[in-house]
Amino acid sequence: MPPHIRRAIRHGAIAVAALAATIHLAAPAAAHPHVFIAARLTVVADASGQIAALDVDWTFDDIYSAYVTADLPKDKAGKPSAEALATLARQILVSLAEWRYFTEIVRLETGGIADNQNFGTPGEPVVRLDARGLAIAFRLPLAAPLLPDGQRLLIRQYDPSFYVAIETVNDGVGLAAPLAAACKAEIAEPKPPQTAHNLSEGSFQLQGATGGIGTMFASNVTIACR
Amino acid sequence: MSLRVVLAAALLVAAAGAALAQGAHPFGMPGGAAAPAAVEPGLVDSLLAWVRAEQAAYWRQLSGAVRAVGEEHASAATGTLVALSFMYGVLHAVGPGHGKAVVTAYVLTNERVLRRGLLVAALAALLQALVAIALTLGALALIAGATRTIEGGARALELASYALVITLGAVFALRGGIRLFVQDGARHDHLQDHGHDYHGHDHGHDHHSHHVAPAVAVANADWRVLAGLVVAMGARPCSGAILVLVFAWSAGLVWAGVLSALAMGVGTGLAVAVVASLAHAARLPVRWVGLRAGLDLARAGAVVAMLGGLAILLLGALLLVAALAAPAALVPGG
Repeated sequence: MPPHIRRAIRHGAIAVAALAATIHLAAPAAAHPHVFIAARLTVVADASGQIAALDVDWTFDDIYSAYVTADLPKDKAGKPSAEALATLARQILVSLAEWRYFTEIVRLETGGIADNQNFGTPGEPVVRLDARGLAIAFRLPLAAPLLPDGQRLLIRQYDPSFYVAIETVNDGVGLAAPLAAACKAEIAEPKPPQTAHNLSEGSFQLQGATGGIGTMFASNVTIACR
Repeated sequence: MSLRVVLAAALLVAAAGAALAQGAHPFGMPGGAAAPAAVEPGLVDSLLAWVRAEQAAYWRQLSGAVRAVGEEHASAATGTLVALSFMYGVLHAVGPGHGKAVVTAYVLTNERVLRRGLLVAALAALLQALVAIALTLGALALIAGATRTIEGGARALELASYALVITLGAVFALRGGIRLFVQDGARHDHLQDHGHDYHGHDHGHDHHSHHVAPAVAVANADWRVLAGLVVAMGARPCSGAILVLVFAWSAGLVWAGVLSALAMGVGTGLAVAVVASLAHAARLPVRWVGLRAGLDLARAGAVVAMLGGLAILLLGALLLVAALAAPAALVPGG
């Protein structure tokens, strides 16, 4: 092979690498997680047995917990007061409303999605701060309760931008009393990055959903009822 | 030429992409929050997702590493902390960022500047770490309600940094324009006296040889531009460093946080330097193809310099507008 051809090939390879690097600059998903949440979810029914709400229990990672509580007034033991923590939790919920609580509940039907559920205003949050970090728990009501009969729901919690990484913990999904008998919960763990091109059943790019890189890291929780 | 145009176009896309990725966030950190990108995950997303997963894995080990420094076997724990922070810093730099865009434009649109580009990357990374350390520890030590102060400071630095990006873009574009004008003028009038205050010569051409010696032009490098590059890239502290510093402070291990922030800076600087080197290397094949095709490389280089400058200007403007439009953090301390 003549030297100038070899040189051209080598230069071409460098150019491709440089282009790849430049395209990296252009990638739409800028964020990387700075906040990690370990999530537990419980699907709860109302008095008439309809699927009515999601009990959300989030524990923040220790670094973010330290950061977010750094400014709170402390008692003599150096712990933030219960009042300050309660205020913090309420403010977190207020700001989460705009982001739909990073929660997505859709009704599935054969071949796709029936509709995306809206939420009401969550109840008063419960907050705790211990060695594991800051945790908040709140009940997220569905705007319209759903009859469980034959219902299939897909529940995902994610920050579209993946600035916040939400992970459903092992055995972290529960069904409250009347639903436990009729329904079954399954968690499909995310397998990034392959999931981007190999979407498993029940994992969709939802219409009207914000999508984004965060979907690749979302656990898919499926609730199937008889 | 065509590849340069592609690179310049990619730069523009990078500018838009990075700018659109800015926005408010409920758990927003200074300079870290990004609005959702409403796109189907593509190949680049998948690669980035992998990088983010890796980065997340390093991040998760960081708090443990900081704590371990305060316990037994501190020297081994310190090594672990430095290694984790370094890797986190390297991965931090993978993805869009105005620093990479600016330094890429600089080495793409200016000749013979790789070494200076690398120096800029290193100094900017060091500055970024030092700013995070000074801002965070200063606020924690002196002020009640420190995290608000840290966020306010980081926001001010962010805005200043974007204003500087706009300025640099304008300077780059102007220099490209001057080169273009001067070359066009030289083609018609060999006797004119050039004002060679730019240092972006394209030495691949052979039609005239009346430029000042390259060594002189390099020696006359505009150090203000270099300082501007360093500050534009490094003024905005990385939110990861701030978080680790606050965490280390609250754990009573301040110096572990300082060490971690510095190691992150080294990792980021190294990664940005690699990006700058790749961008610089991309010039060689372009030059070769251009020469074979009989292109006027000096002219093409000037056009690209101008486009690159305009792209950076646009990037800075978009970032500035997005940052100004973004509401203040919605969560106290967040």
